[in-house]
Amino acid sequence: MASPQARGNVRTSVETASKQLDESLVAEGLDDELVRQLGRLLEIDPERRQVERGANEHSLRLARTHLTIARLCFEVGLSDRAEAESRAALDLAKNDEPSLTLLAAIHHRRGELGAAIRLHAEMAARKPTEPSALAELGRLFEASLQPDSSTVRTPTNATESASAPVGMSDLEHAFRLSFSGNLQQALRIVDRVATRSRTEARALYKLAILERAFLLEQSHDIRGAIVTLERLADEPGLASDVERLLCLSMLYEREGTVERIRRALRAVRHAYLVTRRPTLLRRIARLVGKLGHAHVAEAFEARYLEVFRRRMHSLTLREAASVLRFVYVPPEHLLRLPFAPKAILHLAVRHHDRRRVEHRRRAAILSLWAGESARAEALFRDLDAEGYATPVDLLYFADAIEDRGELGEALATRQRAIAGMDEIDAASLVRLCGRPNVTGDDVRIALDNVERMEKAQQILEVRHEVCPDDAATLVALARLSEARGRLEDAAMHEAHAKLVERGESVPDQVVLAAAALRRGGEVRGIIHELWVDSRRVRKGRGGLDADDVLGSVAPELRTRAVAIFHAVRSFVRARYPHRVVEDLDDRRFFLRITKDDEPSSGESAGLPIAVAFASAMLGFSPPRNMAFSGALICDAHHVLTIGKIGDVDAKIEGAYERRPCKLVLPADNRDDVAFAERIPRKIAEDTVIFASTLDEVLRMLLQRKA
Amino acid sequence: MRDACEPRSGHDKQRRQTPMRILVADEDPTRRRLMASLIVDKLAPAVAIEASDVPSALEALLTRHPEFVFADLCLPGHAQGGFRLILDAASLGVPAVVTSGPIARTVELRLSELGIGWVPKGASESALFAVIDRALELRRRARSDHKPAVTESSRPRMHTA
Repeated sequence: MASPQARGNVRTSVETASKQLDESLVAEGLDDELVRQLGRLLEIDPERRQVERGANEHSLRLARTHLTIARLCFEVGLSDRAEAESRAALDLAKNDEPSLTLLAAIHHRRGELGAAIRLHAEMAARKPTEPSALAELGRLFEASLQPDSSTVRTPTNATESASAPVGMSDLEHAFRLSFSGNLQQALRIVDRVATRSRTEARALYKLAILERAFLLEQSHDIRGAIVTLERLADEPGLASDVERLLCLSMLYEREGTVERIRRALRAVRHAYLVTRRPTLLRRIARLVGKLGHAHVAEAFEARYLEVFRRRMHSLTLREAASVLRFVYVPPEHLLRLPFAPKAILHLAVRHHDRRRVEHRRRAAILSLWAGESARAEALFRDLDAEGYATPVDLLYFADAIEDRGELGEALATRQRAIAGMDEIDAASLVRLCGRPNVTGDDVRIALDNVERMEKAQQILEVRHEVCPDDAATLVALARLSEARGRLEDAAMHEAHAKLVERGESVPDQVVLAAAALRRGGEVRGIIHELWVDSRRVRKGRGGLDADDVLGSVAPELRTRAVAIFHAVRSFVRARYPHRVVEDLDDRRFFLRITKDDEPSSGESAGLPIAVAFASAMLGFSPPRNMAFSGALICDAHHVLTIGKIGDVDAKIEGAYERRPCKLVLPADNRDDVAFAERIPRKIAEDTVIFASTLDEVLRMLLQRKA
Repeated sequence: MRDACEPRSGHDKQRRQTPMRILVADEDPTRRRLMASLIVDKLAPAVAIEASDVPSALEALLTRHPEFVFADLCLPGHAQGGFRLILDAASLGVPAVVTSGPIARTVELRLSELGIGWVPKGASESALFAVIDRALELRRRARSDHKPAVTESSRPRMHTA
């Protein structure tokens, strides 16, 4: 039995604990626990990759290194090397999703849209298909917007009753009724489907209730929609259903009271823990911001930006620094990386005084990258003298020497580097052969035998195939042909290089258009080309007819293109009479829309088509790093406005993937861009330019030209 | 459209079509059932959701959307006991009543600040019902004062995340 003193001690400790608890309760704000719980979410990596059981750890590490090199090469524009490294990563880690998406991005950037789309389709087919009521509802919603569509649906669950497809067509019909203004009848149909399917087809029941909530929300009965979804929790297995909770969170957010926002946040937090869907981080940021916790909101926004950038194959400065020793990146390509020289130099200084060769090598490369070529040269010279310099080091060393103006010494160092390489790469060959003082003999010294010269030829031809607009590759091919004694080939490559340098190898009026491609419920943004060509015809026979719109184009877009042509012709005459080409009426125009294996349609092509016509009529070349998307509305002969479009998030994603690429969007889409959960705020700010009229767009383009 | 989340006091219960959901959280199963049946009778039509510890009560608060919470302050499963549950309920705007032994004056004040009713253990049935009515009335008043916020975008969209 406990002594009276011990009992007293226990009582005292209980009282102390109770007092502390009381104080904590009195002091605790209503958001404190929520913010604590949310803080823990920031530590979770949403894209953590599952390591396959039995997978070789060494091969996975190697695959990651190849992938990082591929990302670096993609970012700096060495797409041939990026592709080779992605394939090397895929050889080591089969079906690795980041490698496959990078490969698709490389194809997209090169304009090989078919290959990119095929890769995405393969990845989508490989993913486990989780039945999603929201995706199904989205399909019904879209089908109901199409005239005379008939719903085709394969039942997701074989045990579902045969009445399910009938219910689906009823739900689609309910959407149609609701759009035509007959909400009560639509709700009656949805309720009938729900009652019929409640016991037999649970998936259809859930779908019906979600549609009911959606219809109520559209008729601004937010509370009714909330009640509908809250009651769904009483059904077995649906209380913790993520889709139900996500729908509820949107409705709570629309109601907008502090309590409702907190409810929304808790629901989204739960959904994030279950699904790890990165876009939910953005939604959390928005909701936390609405509660007034600006710092926490910024932390979530920053976290999503980091995840988004990684998904879009960007790399950090540290990652870039860690792989630059494996791959030679010419200085002009290094400048394309989005890091400030100050940050690069800071990292270089941190490695400068270390003893390990790896650190000294890294310091040397970073110093060169930051523009401190004298310091880099000294570091490389030490490494070379100690016998630690690799061929890649020697290539960077040569650049540092060349910065000092010692072209001869730089050439000799480059020759030494290439002679010492087991696997020659295109970037180093172009660097060696593309310098002004290099002759065929210099190339022969570097490549010393016929087999290596043959191999170099193949590498450069691959590079030319993927980068046909790169004049330096053609010059390198010319030097190499000269070294091999093929003077005719050398002259041909030389002439080709001159044409490319003068910009005569590409049409003048190429415009990039941002489009959305739908595949199995997924929307992807792609950037494709369209261009305008014109030729002089007999007086008064100029213009553009429907037959002059070339490519796989839907009839409505063909008609719209003709209408846009006439609107733009009148517009440029009214607004820019001093710039219009003299023989405008005597010119026959042709509009070429690419992506022949997919029928192009939709209103969003209006703006890029108008820009293409305007560029031909006013005689300027549109920028190659700017895409356009917007509906063109002709208000008067001198007023062309830009109307709202859909799928802005997919289009911005597509433009960012093809970087560096800006995207011009209608000003009416400003809210949609701010609300787009897939796109971090900073990416939208850096990528999107809003415009409300064609005049604004043209003024911007003409100013850029000036 | 009627709002099922909006709690009604006893006199308009006949107007209510859908049952009100009540979360009763108590470790002792006998007391929990007793309290649940008492409150269900009082707020009929109503259904009770029962929880024996803080984690299950918090999950029910998130996923079952109760419109009223009755909790014991000495609930197991969390360092703060039933405080955690009622703080969460208050933050979500769910009216709550808590029962316990004697509590400090500061806590009592804080509970009343949050609009949470408190009833000592062993109190009479009428005292309990009076506290429940007061808590529901407070929430009803707070709700009628509130005006819905203007949303940033009225664009129709599917709820896809």
